[in-house]
Amino acid sequence: MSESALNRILQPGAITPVYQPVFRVSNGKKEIHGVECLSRGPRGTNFESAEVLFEYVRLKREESLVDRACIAAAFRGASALPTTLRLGINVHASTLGRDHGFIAFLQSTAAATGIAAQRIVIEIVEHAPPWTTSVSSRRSNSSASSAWPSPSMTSASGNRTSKCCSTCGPTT
Amino acid sequence: MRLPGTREERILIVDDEELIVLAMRKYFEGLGYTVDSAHELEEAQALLTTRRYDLVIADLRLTGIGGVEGLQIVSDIHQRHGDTRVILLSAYGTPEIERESYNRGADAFLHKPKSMMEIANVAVTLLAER
Repeated sequence: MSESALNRILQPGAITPVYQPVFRVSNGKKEIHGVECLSRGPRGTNFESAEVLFEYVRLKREESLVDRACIAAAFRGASALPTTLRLGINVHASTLGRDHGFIAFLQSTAAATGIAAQRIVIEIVEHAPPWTTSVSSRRSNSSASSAWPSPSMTSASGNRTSKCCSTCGPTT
Repeated sequence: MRLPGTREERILIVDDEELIVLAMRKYFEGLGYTVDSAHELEEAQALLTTRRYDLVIADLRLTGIGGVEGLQIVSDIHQRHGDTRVILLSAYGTPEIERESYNRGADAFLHKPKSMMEIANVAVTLLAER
């Protein structure tokens, strides 16, 4: 029997981060505002495609595990980027709802890689009912206590996903 | 025998045995088909969600004794892709499982062992009927 695909995805170095620039356009001028951190699975496999990778991860109900791996890879790679750039990371709503250690992981990983919390923008990816009212309240209270602003709902395009963004740390 | 595969026809092979997948991939690619492969149910499902296949060849059992993940693949395909043909392969199929596979929409249920040519003959026939 072949090795589980999930184990291959979680091998060190298996996830490759890529960074998509985000520009601010104002008064006819454009300047780079930040990057969105995207992930590619193991090269040469079905999971090199992000679409296949994350569909597989959702079917296995291992969103939290892979979200963490993707973020760790993204933050490690981002150390080569200018420190003024915002870093947008995609996080499944189910990860926020079920992984109670996720925020602590995010904070410690950012600190370990020299990423200031204020640079991080969490883009919540929703594929299933993301959270219950009680969980939502708990997360909002937790965010307030760690100086994170309440998330603002921003509708986003996508056949099956919607996103809302929350910026870590004070907004400018 | 040169079979009329075209580069536009895409086949998905699903089997947990790496050697079987490699052998089948090599054989069907040699016939001119574009081939993807998966080793477990969720991997196959992820591919079926994101890509379109003309034919799926799946082993009935992908995990351990008693597994019948192939039946789930047949159901998924039948629900999403009405024109995708499905061949199930099994060394353990009972008449009840074979009947169930057809009920779910399988186009062929082949009892192992079968040669590559026998499987390919069924595949080509099914693709020609589409």
